[in-house]
Amino acid sequence: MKQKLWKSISIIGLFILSTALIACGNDKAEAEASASDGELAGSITFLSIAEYHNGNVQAVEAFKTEYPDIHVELEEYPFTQLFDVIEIKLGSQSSNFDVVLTDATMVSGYAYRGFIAPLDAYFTEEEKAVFAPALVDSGSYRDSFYAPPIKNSSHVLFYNKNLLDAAGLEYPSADPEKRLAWDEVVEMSEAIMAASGDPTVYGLTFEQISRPYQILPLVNSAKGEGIGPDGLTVDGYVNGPGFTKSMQWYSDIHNVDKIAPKGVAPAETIGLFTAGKIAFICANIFDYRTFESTEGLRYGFAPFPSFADGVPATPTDSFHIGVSNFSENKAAAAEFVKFFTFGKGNDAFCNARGEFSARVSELQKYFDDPQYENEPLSIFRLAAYEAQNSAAPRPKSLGYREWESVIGATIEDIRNGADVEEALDAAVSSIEVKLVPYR
Amino acid sequence: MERKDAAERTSPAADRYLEYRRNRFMNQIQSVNINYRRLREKLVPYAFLSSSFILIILFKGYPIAYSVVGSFFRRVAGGVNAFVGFENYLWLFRDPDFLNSILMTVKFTFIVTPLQIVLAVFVALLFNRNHLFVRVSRTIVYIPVAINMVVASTVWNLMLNPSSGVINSILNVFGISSQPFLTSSNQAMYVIMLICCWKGVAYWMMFLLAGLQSIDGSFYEAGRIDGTNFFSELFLITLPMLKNSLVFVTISDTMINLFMFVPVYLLTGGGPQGSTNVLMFEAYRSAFKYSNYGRSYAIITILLFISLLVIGLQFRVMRERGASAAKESRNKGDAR
Repeated sequence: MKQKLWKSISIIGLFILSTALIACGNDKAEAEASASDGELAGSITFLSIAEYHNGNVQAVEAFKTEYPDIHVELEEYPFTQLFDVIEIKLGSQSSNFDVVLTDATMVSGYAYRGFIAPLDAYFTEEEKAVFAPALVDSGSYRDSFYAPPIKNSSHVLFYNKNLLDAAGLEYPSADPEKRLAWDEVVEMSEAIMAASGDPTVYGLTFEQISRPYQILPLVNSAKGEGIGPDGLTVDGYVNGPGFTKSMQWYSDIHNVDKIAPKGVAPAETIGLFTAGKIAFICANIFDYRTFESTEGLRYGFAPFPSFADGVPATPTDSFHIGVSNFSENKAAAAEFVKFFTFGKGNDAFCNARGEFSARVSELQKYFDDPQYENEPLSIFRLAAYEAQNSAAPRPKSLGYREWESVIGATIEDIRNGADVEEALDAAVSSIEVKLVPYR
Repeated sequence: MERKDAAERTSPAADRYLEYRRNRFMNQIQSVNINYRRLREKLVPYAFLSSSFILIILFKGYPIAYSVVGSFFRRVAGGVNAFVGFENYLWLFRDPDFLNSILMTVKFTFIVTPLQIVLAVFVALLFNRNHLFVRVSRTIVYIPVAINMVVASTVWNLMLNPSSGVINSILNVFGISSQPFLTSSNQAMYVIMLICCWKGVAYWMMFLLAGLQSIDGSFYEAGRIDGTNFFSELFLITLPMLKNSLVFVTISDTMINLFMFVPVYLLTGGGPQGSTNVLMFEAYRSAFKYSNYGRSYAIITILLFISLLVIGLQFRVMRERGASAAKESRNKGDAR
């Protein structure tokens, strides 16, 4: 009886194992069978982030007017969930999404894993030349073009004029040649905090606290790099002198000088600035719209600071959009991508969000058009200057997700008081082993 | 007429033969009936169990098998799943994050499980009375169980905020300096342990309370005649009689703690400095952050192995203790 029972269990176990084995190995073939080029009609789904809702809606509406035969379904998730959704959906080779929004750093990884389709057949060389070469490079992988940029990004140092006035400080200059040094920002912050007498007022914070996108330019400014030229080596870079120096400064502002608040999440930082609780905030230029609409807030902006003995380095990079490799209507999806990146859709998106364009021709507009001479629109001119002179994009790596995850956690640990050298050495050990599969 | 007479005239030997055939036939029918009944008796329980069995295969067996098989594959260029043998496991054991997450999982489970059970026994003993005040208190203590873990974690996160949290405000009133709580590598794990205890103790208490209430009062009466005090009553009557409930609670609680995920995901993200990076979170991060499903499946398989090992050990210890207790009681009986 016992033998029979074991026999039955073994048979059931073998059945489950064989089914799982088949399921593991067969999914690619199924996806290839289902992926086929369609015509310029039908329905496509665009995966984007909820933070871009107004821009997305404007662009989609413009597309519908131009292409009435293509129905566009918009599906949005919070920014913090976007990459998880992509990993889950495209990782399971789902055809739910046709067009996906992706971060510049993720393009090569998604192309490597077969998540997104090459767009060389849909984009001519002239069309690609519309974008800055660095952004085309970000959207490419192994000589194939996968995802064009939808915008550019740049950061500035916003300051609260009321708090500076209270401390009797001069406003920082908006001239990139008179860029503040980080140590000057610390000194001014200390003066502002002392003058305010309010323990809830702090000197400085970053909009995207501890995220490599905004913090890595500190490293670049200290002449360090986040990863080697091969995109797979971190030893000697993450624990190198530039990285260590900048992270020591980042630790000090939170733990020694205490000019930057701890226990604050990225989502809370803009609110703290508009509430008058932060004197300086390094933030994306499009935040000027929020500040403009905040009653009673007197603010100004200056170039993103750098280390006195370093080089100017400003956060940059763009979001790109690509066509899912598992889309059943790739032709329509590619048309939408073109419309969204350099057609009327891109104008609609950038205007709705106050973003600055990734197109080279648009960049020159900020210098030529007189409306960009005065505040607040002069922020675009500053951003255009930074894009051409000090933009510090994040590294390209097939293992970017692993790198970013570990580096992000390490920066947060440093912010919370971890020993800088120990934390960076631990990060190196952690990342090196995770990048082995890509070698 | 002659023929009828001839038919009626049978010899005694023929009669016995016919009787023998009839009996044999009846026995055969009876035997078939018995076999059928036995077969039915054997099959009926399986028929009842089959629906659960199918669901277990679908929702437990299949994912487990999928994970085990998937741990031998890795997605390579072009999204192809390549068979890599034990490579995922070999890389894991060279990865300091994974080794740390094993340590953190074991630390969490081996501190929280006994703590929760001891507290649950204590609270259950406290509430094993039938007064209005006790009934009301029992309901209040049970409230955390009814709160969703996501909601509970979010609320605790707000309360434990080092800059603006209410807990630090209370500590400051008593002259205690503000604590970093979830942002300190020395405190974060213990804070998560406390949150899990706050949420879990009342849940396990209910099982133990049910066990306590099923203990016959005559045992305690007999104990009192023999002169027991509170502690001897607890260790000689209550806990031995509570053994079945305790076995269930210990094993279930261990399993839940080994697979703890939500508070880490919401409160610390595995940090600071990996101090709360338990295996489940490392598996999640591997699958959904790194998109390395092979690594994630390998972690889950190892976690499964660890849980089977721990549960097997617990069963063994409980059985041995049960057997030795029974032997002891037999010996005492013989001596009397």
